[in-house]
Amino acid sequence: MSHPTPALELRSVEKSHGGQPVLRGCDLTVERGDMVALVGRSGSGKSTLLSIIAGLDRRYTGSVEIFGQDLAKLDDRRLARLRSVEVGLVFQSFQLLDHLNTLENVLLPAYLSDGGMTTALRLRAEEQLARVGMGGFGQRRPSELSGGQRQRVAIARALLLSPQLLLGDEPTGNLDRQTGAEVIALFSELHRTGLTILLVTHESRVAAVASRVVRLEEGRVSDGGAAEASG
Amino acid sequence: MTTRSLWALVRQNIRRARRSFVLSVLGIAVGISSLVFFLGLSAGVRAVLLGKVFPLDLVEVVPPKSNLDSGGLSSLFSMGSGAGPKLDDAAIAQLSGRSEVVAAYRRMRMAFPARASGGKELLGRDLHGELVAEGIDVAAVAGESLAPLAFDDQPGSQTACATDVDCRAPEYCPVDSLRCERPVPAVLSPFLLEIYNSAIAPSHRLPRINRFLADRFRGFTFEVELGQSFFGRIAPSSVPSKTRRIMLVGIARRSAQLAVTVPLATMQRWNKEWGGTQGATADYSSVLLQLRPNADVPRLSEKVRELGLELSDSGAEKVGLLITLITLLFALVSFAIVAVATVNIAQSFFRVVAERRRELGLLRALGASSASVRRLVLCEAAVIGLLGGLLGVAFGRFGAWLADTLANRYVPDFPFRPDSFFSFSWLLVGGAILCAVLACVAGAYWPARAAARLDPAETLASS
Repeated sequence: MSHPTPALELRSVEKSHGGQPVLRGCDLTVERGDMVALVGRSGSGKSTLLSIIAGLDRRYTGSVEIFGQDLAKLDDRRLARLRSVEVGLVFQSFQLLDHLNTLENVLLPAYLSDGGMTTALRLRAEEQLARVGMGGFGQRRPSELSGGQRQRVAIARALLLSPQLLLGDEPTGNLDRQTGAEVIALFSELHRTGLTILLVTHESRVAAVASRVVRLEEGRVSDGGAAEASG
Repeated sequence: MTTRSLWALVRQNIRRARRSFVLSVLGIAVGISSLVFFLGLSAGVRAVLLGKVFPLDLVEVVPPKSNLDSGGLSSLFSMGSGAGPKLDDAAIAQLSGRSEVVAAYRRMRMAFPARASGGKELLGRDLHGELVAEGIDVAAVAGESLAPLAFDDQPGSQTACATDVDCRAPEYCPVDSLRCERPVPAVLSPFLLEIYNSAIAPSHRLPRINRFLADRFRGFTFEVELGQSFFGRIAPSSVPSKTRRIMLVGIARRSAQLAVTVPLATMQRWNKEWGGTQGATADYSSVLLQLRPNADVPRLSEKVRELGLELSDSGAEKVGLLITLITLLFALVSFAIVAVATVNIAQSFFRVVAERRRELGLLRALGASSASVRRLVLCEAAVIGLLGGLLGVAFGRFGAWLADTLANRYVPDFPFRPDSFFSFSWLLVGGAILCAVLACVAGAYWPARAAARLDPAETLASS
């Protein structure tokens, strides 16, 4: 019986900044359908590792495979396609463009994809906004939204092209407790639909909803087991 | 990224930075408008000078000047019958057989004096003057709009008559023969018409011959007294002078510039009758060679020299060179303006890329390849170039219209004055727009390269 390829597999990933090692041989496997919380102290290299996994940072050694594709072997175009179609990204600071309205922000990945903008994707963008509780906010500018609303829009954008892996970099880091809890609940709900999720966080309440928690300490990943994160 | 998506993103970027966009477009438009203006002016002037005044596709071969220099008043009417090389049928056959030559049209000057009078029906009063005439092959006027007579040497019905009414129009009854004759058809050159309109008509308070009058003047007749001059009688005294009627049948580009042009056979007949021995044996005064496009004129010129003949110096090459030099000078100034605009575009796009670092990083994170980011920046620049080019062409053409209007109002008339001093070919317009687009794309190339090389992880982390 053949095992399905893991959603994510890191082997001996190393990375240095200005001669200082940040990652010292990280190994991590995320199975399909997992919701993994990557926890660790500030400055431990969590976001650096997430950038490598997202294919944004290519200056590392070791191997990173997403759904069996070794990122180091992909050219710029194929890597861009992977980021566009197979991976969804959610940032701590939302990263919405102020000159676009909410719907246009959600549609950005569609503009950048090989298939381009279609009516079906426009409808899907509206569906995703409704799914994250932002239906009816399509014409609003990001500046007119609260932090929680902006993060919901960012999640809708990440989901537009139906990625199989959702990566979140401190998605509740800029939110108050109540709003953060709502966003965590949203991730939890997405996980229940079968989406593979990897969240970088230093918040225990985020880790609490994860099916698995891994720690990044002194540049190495250690398995922390299920839902026992610390802050 | 699809082209449609690219265009949508470009539109969004333009929409949010309208002022900067408009300034960039105007910067390019200024350079392109001056380029279009000067190149249009150059093309217009070149078309008039080299198309009408000094046609480049026609060259005139003449006997060496020494042949014409036999001295005395009679040399005015000499036919080049000196001892040197002759422009005869054999020489012309050699020239017309050349690959550079499409057709050869023989010309023969009038070898005796004559005077002309007439013009009342067209100009309001009769004019009198020496007749300067030349004969030319009838094929030279083929394709010209001529009426009411064909341009050929036809004697007419030769029926007996006492007065003009006895002859069928347009024939008339010459008093010396009392036989009906057809008037001799004649054509004028556009050059002669221009000289008349710009110099003779104003100074003699005569009407200018505009298009309406030019139509009316077809069929206009005047009398010529062959063998008789206002300077006295020069033709051999044994040949009596005769009065004949000439009818103008149109304007012909290949006709003699400063003479009334009649069919070659007519001139040969007249020269035999009134030109004495010199006229009877006369060779041709010149031959007009119609050249193929891009003909090798220096090679032809060499052959002409081999035959002991000369190319008449029309000044076309010098004028062409002068126009080219002036055009180059103005084009250089215009290109300098476009270059400055290009540098501005580069600066502007470097600023834009710096301002949009976070956004460009985000686009990479959301699935844009570095090539897509580069295309996005270059496409935005191309739109600036396209609009700048279109606006520049519009400004240039407006400037041309203004210059023409002011010139028509304030600049006195002169020969060959065109309706417009400008000529805008599709090639010029398309080339100018292309130049604008290329200048902008070139200006944005390095900023686009820098944008494509942005490290998305770093830009997003720093934001």
